[in-house]
Amino acid sequence: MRTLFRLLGRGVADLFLHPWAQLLSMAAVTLVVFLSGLFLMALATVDAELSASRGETVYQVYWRPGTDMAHVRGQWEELRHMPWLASLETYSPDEALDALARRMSETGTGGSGNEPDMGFLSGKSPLPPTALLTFAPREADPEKWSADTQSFLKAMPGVERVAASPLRDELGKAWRSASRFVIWPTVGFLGVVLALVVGNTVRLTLSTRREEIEILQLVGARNWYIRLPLVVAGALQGLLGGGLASLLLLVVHWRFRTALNVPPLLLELRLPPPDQAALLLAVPVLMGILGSWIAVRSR
Amino acid sequence: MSRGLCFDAASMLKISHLSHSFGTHWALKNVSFSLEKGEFLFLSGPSGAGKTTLLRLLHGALPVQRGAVSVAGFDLTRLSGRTVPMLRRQVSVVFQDFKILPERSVYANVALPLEVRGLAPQHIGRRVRAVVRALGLENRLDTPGGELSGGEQQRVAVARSIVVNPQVLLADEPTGNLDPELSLRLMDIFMQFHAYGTTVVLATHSPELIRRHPDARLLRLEDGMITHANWPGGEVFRCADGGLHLGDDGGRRGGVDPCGLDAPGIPGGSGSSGNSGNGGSGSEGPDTPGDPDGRLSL
Repeated sequence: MRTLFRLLGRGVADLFLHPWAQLLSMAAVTLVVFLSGLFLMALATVDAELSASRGETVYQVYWRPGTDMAHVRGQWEELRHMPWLASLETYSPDEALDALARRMSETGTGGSGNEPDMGFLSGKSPLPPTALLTFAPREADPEKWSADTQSFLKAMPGVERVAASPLRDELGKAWRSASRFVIWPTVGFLGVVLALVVGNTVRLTLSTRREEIEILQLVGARNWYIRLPLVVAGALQGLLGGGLASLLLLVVHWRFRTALNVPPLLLELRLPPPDQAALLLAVPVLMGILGSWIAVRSR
Repeated sequence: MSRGLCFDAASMLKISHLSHSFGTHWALKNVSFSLEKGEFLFLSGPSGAGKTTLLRLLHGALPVQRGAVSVAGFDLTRLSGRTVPMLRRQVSVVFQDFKILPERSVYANVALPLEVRGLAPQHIGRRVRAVVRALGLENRLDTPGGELSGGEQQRVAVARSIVVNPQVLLADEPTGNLDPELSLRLMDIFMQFHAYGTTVVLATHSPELIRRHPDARLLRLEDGMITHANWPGGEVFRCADGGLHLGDDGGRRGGVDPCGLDAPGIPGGSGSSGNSGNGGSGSEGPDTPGDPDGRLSL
């Protein structure tokens, strides 16, 4: 156990043994991971934008007329916490009436372009409370998600019916599946490129320690004894490189989040989703380990 | 021809019909000899004679291509990745190019093989200091290896190899960078180890060193073959390929031709043993008188 801890400690200390080589290697890892992160960020931004414009699913929920509004408002609060909810518009009976009047005025159905006077119905609106829920789901099984969501909404106390636009629902599903089809292979390809570059960088860094490895082999060190410190150093290098790159990405996101949010682009930079962001740390660490492992030949 | 030799337990090092090639060049050709525990062997010969190749084969740095080799009880023809470190814990090597870690201190360099064996730090410290003192490096303990002179680096390499009390010590030109006084001091240390039962194989160009130790065994390699031997109490055969073959008691008496080669392509071919021999004096030639059965006692 003492030897194990000593070797782990040596792995950390060895990072400072060839500082320039380690620094350059870490810079290379950081830049590659950062570039990959930027690519993922661009992908996430475009995907979010396209999903927002094409991949949304909208449900309109109608409560029974006369349902206690305090109760309904409580349910609206509950709805705000639903997963994948992009927006929620709510209408009390009076708000629904106002909205109806505005709509009639805009379309000219209220007569001579003026807003129809519905003041006589104030406080006695016959319209039910409603909520318009817009979702941008990223579920693996959109059909099931859609069915589950509709069932949930219909089962809410006081809800009379839930309306969905089948065409828009289908369009959303189609877009989401197309998006998955494009994004994950791209992310996978990027992961492979990242893995190869990081792995090779770490492996090449160990060329500065080839003589040390050779000497350890010559004095009878077993492979695990030689590899453990190198693997620890490789993992640390990957972790530091990946961590530094992630930090840079956060800075870029914080500084330039709204830089493209001007006409005609109107794009807001998005960070990659957590599962993709995890790759930016996991791949360098794994490849740091693997690169160190294969750098040591058995004899 | 049978190559299956039974290595007796007393042999610390046994080589039988060993040949090794790098591409088309045969660096060793049909070399045979054996050493008992505590014997001392000088390997001499010009550069490129095969001395370093032989030493590299003996500690598993090169795979055995042809022939059989046993060192400290390890059959090197069956050496696997797992057993190489175990062999190297019994066989220490001093290299021509020292192979010390330039960034690490003298202490760290010498302690390396002991750390690898998992010894306690206080035990490591005691042994390292004793060896370093014996080699006159006690004032350089904390100096990085890269800042040492060639001679000091060589002594660090020697200290690292003897600190573990190896069963077999292989040294490739260990006195090459030392002044005569240090060379002698170093040889004394090797001789002490030899006296305590370590088998030592020392490759050297220095006739002076060899002359000072007339009791030691001597093999001269040229072009991959043993061309001269001082082998007290042993047996030497001269073969048709011009090489000498030594110390293999299972040779003639066991019905096995000690000169035999069953490896096509090895220079010398499937040579039959000649009956000309060579004495310890190193005089060679067809007119050297030999035993009727081709065996010479040296």
